[in-house]
Amino acid sequence: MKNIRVVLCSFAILALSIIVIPPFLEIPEMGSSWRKDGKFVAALQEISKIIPENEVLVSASYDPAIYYFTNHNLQIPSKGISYNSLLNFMKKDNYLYLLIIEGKYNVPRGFTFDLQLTNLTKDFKEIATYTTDFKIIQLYKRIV
Amino acid sequence: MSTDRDDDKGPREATKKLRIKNITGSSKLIDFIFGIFCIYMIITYSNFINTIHVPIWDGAVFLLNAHEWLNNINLSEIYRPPLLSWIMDAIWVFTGEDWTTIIYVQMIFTIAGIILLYGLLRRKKGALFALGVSALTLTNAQLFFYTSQIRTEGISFFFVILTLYFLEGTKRAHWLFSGVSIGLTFAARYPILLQSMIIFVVESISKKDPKSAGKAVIAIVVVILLVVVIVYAKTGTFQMALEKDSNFGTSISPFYLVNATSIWGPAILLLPVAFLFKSTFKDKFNYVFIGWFIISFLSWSTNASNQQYRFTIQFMPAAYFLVMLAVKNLVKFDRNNLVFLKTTSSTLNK
Repeated sequence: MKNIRVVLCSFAILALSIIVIPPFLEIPEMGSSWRKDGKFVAALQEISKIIPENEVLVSASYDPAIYYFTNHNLQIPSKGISYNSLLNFMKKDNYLYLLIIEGKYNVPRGFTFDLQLTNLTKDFKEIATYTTDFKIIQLYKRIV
Repeated sequence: MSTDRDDDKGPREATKKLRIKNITGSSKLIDFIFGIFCIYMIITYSNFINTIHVPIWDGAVFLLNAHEWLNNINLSEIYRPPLLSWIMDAIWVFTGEDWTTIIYVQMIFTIAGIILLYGLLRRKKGALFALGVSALTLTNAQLFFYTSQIRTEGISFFFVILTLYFLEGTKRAHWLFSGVSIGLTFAARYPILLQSMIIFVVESISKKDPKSAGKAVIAIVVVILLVVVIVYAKTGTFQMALEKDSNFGTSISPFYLVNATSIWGPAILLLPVAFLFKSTFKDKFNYVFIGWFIISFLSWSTNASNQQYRFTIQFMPAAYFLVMLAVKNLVKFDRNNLVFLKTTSSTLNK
């Protein structure tokens, strides 16, 4: 009887180990890979220093991480906006700064700008470009 | 009448028993294994946390809220429970506002919760049982991932365990502390108040000490009122969740049942087995975990609009407690222990 218990006990421990180990090994792969971008936060913190205090940042989507690390209010134009509408949106409220993030990026509640970036040079001046592990972050200032 | 062979069997059995005890029953050995396990998990947590360089959406919101509490600015998301942001602020008062200083906060609360759980279960059910529940809980992928982030799962998990720990305490003052702990569960993550309350209600019924339970209720009300008043004073309102996420009670969803093995792993298949044994219902202590699991499971299943694996994190210990109970009953299998078999008269005489 005791032998049976030892066998059962060993079997239980072995079974639990088999149950526990495979899902645990998957943990490093969990979550979005772009969250492992080691340069993203530093780039946003750099941007926060470039933009004057109280200036608003226009971005394609709201992300609390951008808001927190740039330390500037974000304004998000309505979905599906064209280049001219974006320009008018910024002119109307006198917004000067535009943030464009390209590459692997999570935009859960928004969208990415569908803009021909070459057009931007007509009305915007490129202030800074940061190439991070997964993204290219560009900061533009509207020419007034 | 015993034979020579039987006489030989005595010391041999005793030695074997001792050896088994040495292998499985030595509390000090199990404590040592648990200690090693905790160190291993802290290293694993730290390694994983160090790979996260951008906080997840909710983490960034808690950072924003903490920044706004600290600088007396309007809160970005008023429905977020405030405790995590207050803890961040308490750290930032000493370190300055730096998000990297709070990345380990959840891990600390989670490991502390597991240590309390182990200590409690070791006292009540033995070291091996406690190790099983603690190891299964802490190695759960959902729990590990979400308690590695800047979120509230690990903190609320800790306060649920702390509530149970105080309620299982021997001094009357423990009831008061449990009330404070229940209030802090609410401040950590609003809906998890239910889980601490289940534990409190079951313990109150089983301990039959209305005077102490009354003191605990007063402490619960005071702490919750304090939290509500502070948040109200700051925001001018008190909101516990987004309206779209709070559709409770309309219907029962099979989501958590269908995805049970993905959430808890295949071990969960053993959980129903615990209910097949009479001994499960004999020990009053088990009722806390039965109530905790069933009501939490059902309450999340009644949310028709928002179903996520991570909602099960705070009652992981209850699920794995029942799994371990099933394992224990299977290891000590006794036909007469089965609920659907009536105890024979001969067994009763024994």
